[in-house]
Amino acid sequence: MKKTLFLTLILVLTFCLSMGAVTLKMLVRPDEGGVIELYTKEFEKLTGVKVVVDYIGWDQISIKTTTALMHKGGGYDIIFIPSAEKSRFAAMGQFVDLNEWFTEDEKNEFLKSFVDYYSHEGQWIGVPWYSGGAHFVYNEKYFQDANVNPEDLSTWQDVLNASKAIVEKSNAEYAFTPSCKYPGNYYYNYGTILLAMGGQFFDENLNPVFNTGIGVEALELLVEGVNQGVFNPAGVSLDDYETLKIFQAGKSAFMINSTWSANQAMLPEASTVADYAKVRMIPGGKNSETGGLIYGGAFGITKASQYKEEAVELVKLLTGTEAQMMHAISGFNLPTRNSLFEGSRLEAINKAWPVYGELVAQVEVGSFGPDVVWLDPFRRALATAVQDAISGKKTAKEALDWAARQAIDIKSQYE
Amino acid sequence: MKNLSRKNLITLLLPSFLFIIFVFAVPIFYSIFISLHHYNILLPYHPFVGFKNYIKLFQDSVFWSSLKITLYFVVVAVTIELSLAMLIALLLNQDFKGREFLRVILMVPWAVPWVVNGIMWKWIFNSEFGVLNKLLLQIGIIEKNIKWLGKPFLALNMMIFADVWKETPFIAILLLAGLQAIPIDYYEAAEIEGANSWVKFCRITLPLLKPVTFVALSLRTIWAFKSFDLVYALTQGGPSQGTNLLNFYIYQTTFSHLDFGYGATLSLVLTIIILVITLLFYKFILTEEE
Repeated sequence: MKKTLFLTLILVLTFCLSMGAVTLKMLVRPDEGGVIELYTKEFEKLTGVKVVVDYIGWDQISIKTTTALMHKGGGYDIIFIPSAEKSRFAAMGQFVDLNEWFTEDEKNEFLKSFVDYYSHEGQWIGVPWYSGGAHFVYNEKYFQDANVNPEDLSTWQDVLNASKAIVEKSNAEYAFTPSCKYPGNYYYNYGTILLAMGGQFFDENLNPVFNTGIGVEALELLVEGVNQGVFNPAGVSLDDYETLKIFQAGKSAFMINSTWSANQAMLPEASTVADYAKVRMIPGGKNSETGGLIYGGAFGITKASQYKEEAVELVKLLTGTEAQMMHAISGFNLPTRNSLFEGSRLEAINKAWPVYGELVAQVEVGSFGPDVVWLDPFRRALATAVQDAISGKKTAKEALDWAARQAIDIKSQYE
Repeated sequence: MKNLSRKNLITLLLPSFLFIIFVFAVPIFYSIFISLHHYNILLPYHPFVGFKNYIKLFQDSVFWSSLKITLYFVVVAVTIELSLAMLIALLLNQDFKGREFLRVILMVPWAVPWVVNGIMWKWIFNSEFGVLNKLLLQIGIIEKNIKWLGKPFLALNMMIFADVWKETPFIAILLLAGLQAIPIDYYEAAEIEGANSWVKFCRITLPLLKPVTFVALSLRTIWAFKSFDLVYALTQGGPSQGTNLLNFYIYQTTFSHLDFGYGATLSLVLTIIILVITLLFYKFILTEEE
């Protein structure tokens, strides 16, 4: 009897104690640079609030988040929102309007373009955490061997012409290995080249235009490079990590890859070409900006969260100046706070990350991909079109026309 | 059983009956229900559309291409696996030194998790760093790297290769168990009658292995139709949708496009295909024997 009473007492006490404790649950992608780990611990020390973080790999995070949002946030208080998923996560209507939790001054501390992008039907749903984009990273030695000055490359036709010389005169097996395996690889192949050449995916009424003019020209250039043997046809089955490895091994003369990958190419412990890896603006068209595709990540707070106040405080800490600075230096992600692009903080990051300024310059002129809920199926169709054209199954025009028809069909299913 | 009253029988069967209802019947009927709706979770309403999803399926070129690829994958993979497994089982059924060790080693590929298997082959087939190209270059079979996963049809065949490597051991062990159940007397009697090895194999081994072959063939066919992990880890359905097996297409439709209505339609069609094929196997292999 005594034993039963004692056990019951213990259970009641445990229950009472757990009732009093606040626990925040967070769903986020892998912790680059250990920033989340560090700052959530600091938050726990400062506030006494317990933080449970679920780190989900990039390959699974979309489904995990979707299923969580289908069930009113799935018990999470804070959910990571990648820019490519912003529209569809927002459409599920599970995030609070952050305008109610941040002052105008606090909001203005973030890059306006990112705050605008993370706004949906007048509501601000994600606090921008990091930014990034596609970059043109090249092997200086191969360019020198071929007597090519990278700064002379202003159009993609120039790049194609230079590629022939590079493959002939340097040790590069291919000038360029595009990453075309995943739908999301459009950042590092056709998508970025299209934007850099001054083209666009859709008109203002969301009718496809990528299958006309510059759009076709951009894909034809990629195909031409493959046909001439200067662009690697294996790119159709390679992702951005694999093409990074190819560049790091000195097999390609240049790559279009992410901000993180641009940095990895320059790390002596990870790259055999670290001394020669350089960054320049992505070559463009005759009269265009040189911006490619950009991306970002943000934190949203779920409407179902019982601890919104605490969640907002944690998000403020994670997206704060110090945390973002560390995320830039140790995680190689560009920040989203205006203060980190100027003054002493800019100098501090520049010191630790010498190409920081060049990477920022690229992202500043870039654009997000199509802001539509059906981005994922559209990108999948586009990936097939790029693969079809590169592998010679269809001409560039035929492949893009097919993707355009798919886009119209996909769009109609959401109307 | 005769002593049990009707009430007691119902009481005993009820838990199993309820389990079957909730675990099998409810999801199946709910899938049928969803397949009759335009059920995209990003849309505020999910209107009833009748058989529109089924009509769409007939007009969907990606579905037909996936089905064609899946049938090729299933037929080629299962045929190779069954043939190879038979040879291995016959070998392991002989009495020789090291037989037990070989039997254990044989199970290693089957014990490798699917995703690990996919990632392993992804790097083996990698055109730039893969060990397959290195090996073939070293022994002089090829002169330059081959893009194993770079062409749709080649990629599909490489996927079959990876599937065969992993699944053959399981069938071999099943067939071996069947072989060991065949009484030795039959072979001795056949020998007295002057039958050679081929005759013994055709007249004794194959007919008596029919029940085990049915199990192996049915299981492998069902599993091959359901293949997902290998596509997910190795090719993601590409290039040019050349390895886009039906189950992966269902996954894309349901969880990437979030079109649960059409995804349910595709799943039901896949279920029916598997059911029909299993019934055909049953009819041709087991009924004939009865």
